[in-house]
Amino acid sequence: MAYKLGADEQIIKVIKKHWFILLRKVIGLFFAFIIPFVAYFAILKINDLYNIINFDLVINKSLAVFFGASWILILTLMFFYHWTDHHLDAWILTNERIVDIDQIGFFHRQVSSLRLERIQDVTIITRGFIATFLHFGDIHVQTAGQSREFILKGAPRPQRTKELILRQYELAIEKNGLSSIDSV
Amino acid sequence: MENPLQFLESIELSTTNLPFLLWGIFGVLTFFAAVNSVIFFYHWRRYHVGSILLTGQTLLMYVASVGVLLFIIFTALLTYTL
Repeated sequence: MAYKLGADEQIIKVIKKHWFILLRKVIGLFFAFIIPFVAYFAILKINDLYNIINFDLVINKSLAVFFGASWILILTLMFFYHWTDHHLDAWILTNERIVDIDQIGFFHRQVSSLRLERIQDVTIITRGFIATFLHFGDIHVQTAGQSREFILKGAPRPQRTKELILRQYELAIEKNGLSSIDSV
Repeated sequence: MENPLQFLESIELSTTNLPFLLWGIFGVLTFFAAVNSVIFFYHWRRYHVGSILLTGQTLLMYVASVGVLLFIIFTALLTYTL
């Protein structure tokens, strides 16, 4: 993961986005993928039925393969772009902090970390039927002070992750001898 | 407004230029794929894209699919132009 841990720091869990988030991004590519095949066979079928044109004379098969394969190549490259982006977005929960790795583009990577003692509130939001059915949702971690909110969109099993974060938070508080959210 | 003869000439001209255009498209696609491959390989090597079981296969899948498609495009282009 190319991420440096502290001396006593241990990774508790690496949280990546749910597979459905990737599927939602690439489903359009799948439909775009089948367009040339559908168009080719539709033209063949229509031509067979109505005998409009001499197909071999009008549409060169090599040319059809050239454009079809080019189209699929572009879609493949786009698929791998989404795949890379999906797998590089992650949260690393350690016994000391949460590291939020946000891959915005191929060369735009944002890494922020939040110490567990600074957590004020952890909220999970599960929106819609699919998210409820497939058990994924957004996790919002509110920090103390004017710092920004940490958000992981489309986290699998958010309730379980929330419990894990709060458990690590309690342990971090105990370790540092501070008072927890509940005791305030 | 073109007369029929000019129209036929323009079609003939575009047909003559078509192979150059196709080779140009092929060049752009190859360049795009090569740049994309370098970027993908960099990320794959540095951050191990994919789950633990897929690290090796992800790269193999990428190289195989892009390579096969470029080969198909090249073969189709050769068949068309030669």
